[in-house]
Amino acid sequence: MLPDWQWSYDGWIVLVTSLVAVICAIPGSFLLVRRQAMLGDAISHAVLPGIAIGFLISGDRGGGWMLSGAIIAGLTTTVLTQFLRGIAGVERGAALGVVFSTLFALGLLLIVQVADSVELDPACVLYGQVELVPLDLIDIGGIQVPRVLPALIGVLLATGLVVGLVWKELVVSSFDPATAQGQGVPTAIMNQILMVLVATACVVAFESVGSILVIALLVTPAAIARLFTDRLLRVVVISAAIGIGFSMLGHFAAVAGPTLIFDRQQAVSTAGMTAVVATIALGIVACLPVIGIRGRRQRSHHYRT
Amino acid sequence: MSGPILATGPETEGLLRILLLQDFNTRIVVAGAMLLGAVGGLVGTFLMFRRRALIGDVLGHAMLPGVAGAFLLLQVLGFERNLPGLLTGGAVAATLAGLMVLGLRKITRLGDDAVMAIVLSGFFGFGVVLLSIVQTTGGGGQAGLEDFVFGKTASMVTADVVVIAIGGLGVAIVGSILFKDLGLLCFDESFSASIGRPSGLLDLVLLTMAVLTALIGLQAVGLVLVVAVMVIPPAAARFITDDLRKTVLWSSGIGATGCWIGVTLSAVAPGLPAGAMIVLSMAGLFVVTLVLGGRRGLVPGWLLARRVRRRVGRDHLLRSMLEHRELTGESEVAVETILGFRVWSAGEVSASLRAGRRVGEVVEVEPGRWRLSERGELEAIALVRNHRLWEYYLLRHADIAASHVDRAADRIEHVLDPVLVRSLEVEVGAAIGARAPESPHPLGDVASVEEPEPGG
Repeated sequence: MLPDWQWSYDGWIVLVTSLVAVICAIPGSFLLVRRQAMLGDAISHAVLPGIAIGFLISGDRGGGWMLSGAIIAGLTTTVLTQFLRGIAGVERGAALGVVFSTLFALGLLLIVQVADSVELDPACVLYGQVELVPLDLIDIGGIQVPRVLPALIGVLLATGLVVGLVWKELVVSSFDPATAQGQGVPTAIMNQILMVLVATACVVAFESVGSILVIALLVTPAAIARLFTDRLLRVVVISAAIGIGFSMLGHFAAVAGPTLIFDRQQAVSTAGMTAVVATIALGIVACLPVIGIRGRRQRSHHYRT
Repeated sequence: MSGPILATGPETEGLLRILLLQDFNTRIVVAGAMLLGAVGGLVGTFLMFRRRALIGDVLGHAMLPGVAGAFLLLQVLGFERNLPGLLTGGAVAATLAGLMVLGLRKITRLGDDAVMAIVLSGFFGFGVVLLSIVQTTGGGGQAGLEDFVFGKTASMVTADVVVIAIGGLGVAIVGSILFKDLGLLCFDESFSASIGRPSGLLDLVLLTMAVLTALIGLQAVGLVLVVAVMVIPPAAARFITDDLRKTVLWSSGIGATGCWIGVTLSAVAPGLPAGAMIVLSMAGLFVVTLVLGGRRGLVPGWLLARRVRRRVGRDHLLRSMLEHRELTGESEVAVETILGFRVWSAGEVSASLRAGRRVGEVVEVEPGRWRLSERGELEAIALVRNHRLWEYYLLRHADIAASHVDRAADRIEHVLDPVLVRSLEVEVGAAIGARAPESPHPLGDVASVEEPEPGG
């Protein structure tokens, strides 16, 4: 049934995608309750000029330049969006759309300037090449591991640490910014911390799995978790678990799907398949009568208060 | 070619050829792109006011599986790759995605933003899966499909522009027929529903218009950036006007102009990606309206604030000087004394004095000592009369304590409407013009009056 499955190859892919899923689940849950879910989509497009400039400066894919460039571009997106909303009174979605489409266009323009470098392909930023992860190995303590693995573990630990340190402040400023401000919580700083986390997730994910998977893993697992519970801690934990599940299922479907359905030997894109699995799962959960009824009851409650 | 008069070299000649639309192909591409911009501006305005500006992004990305699926299907059935087939696939996929957004919004308690992100990632992911199949089946089709992702305006041919024109015209006609209904849906959904307008159906119409726009934008700017055509023009138009009709017109105009500039730039420098150039041109126009826009632009807003600030400062100065004369009988007053009249800074006082001298309302008797001119006195009497009429009004009708009335009057008198002034004058029996009525509260050091509690 699984002719091509090899743990030394597919195991790494599932592990890397799972790590990205957990890295995304933490800030993603906050984005969801703040109704900023499209921010993941926006930032994952808007990092392109940062990546391009970082690449122009350093001349290679690895290293801190591209990471810093992308984080700066991500923060620029949120700062510009807030400026347009606050000072110029542009509607939130429109402000986001104006900023990220402009930045993405700028990124395309910059990348064309370094066009001969095949390595930096805008399509690759969007689709991701998780299939190449197990081919790019480095030696750590005698064990061959994917080059992106240490970075992913580092970002995961850093994300967990930051969110753990300011958990209460993040929660209150996400659910009720007015109250948070009244209690002296620096909501603007909390906002920026969250944006840094989202931008970091987008960048490490671009390095390993591609933007499409970040958008999916930021929002969809958290949305499913949110249909079951209101407690934010549970949303984070459940969505991390769901995200890991999607990573396994997605890669399995990508490898085995073509064989089972078309009797075709070549696997399809893992990143794309994982996003598809996630959206289908949400569609099924949304149609479950229990969740639907629960959702409706809670929504009417929400409007009453 | 009719001989260009200004041509000095091959480069200028080429630029002129493009600007004057001398090539048939240039004409085709410019016409198509401008139509796209105008239609995007129209549809985008409604989407923005419906607070679904980013649905264009969802529809754009959702076209990928449709286009790639149609490509594979055509290949399996043994047809040549043809544009109408691919576009039909894109339209079907985008419509499904739009329906899924509306549906998930209805049956779950997730917000618009979450639903859009979920649908976008799922559809685009499926598109990536299909692309990976196209890649492995070979046939060189993948390169052609990439054009749809990032756009390739220059490859437009007459047939494409005809498609764009028909689609655009359809969207424009539907938009103008349903203009009132869509406007009502955007601004007051519950009222629209209460007078029997079918919100769900109108949302579907709006969705269909957005799908058509995304479809005709697919070739020019590509599916990733098609959102810009629907988002940037209306956001820019908002700086210029508040009126829905004018917003639509401005938005369409900005969209068409941005597309024209972008296409021209990419024609002048063929290395530049046309889709990105269109988006960046629109962004440039957006920045212009952000800075200069008459309604919410930064510069007009700043100028207005400065004008109001100056007027208020001058009013305060004249009134304070007149009241000082009433109180002490001295017509000359030192700058330091003026400073003590109100809570204001030395800078504000000297700026107001300088401005007053420029228009001849105050006279500097000797350095640091000032008095009202004849003209200034007349102005001051009028101002004080207005102020005191307000104070009477507030005391009698708004039940404000005498110790707070001066400040309350201060805050609103600058918006006083002349008709209201006349009726107040009649009410307190004040003679017009001759002199100001008596102050309803003791005059004195205003700074010592307590600041009223906010909202109290």
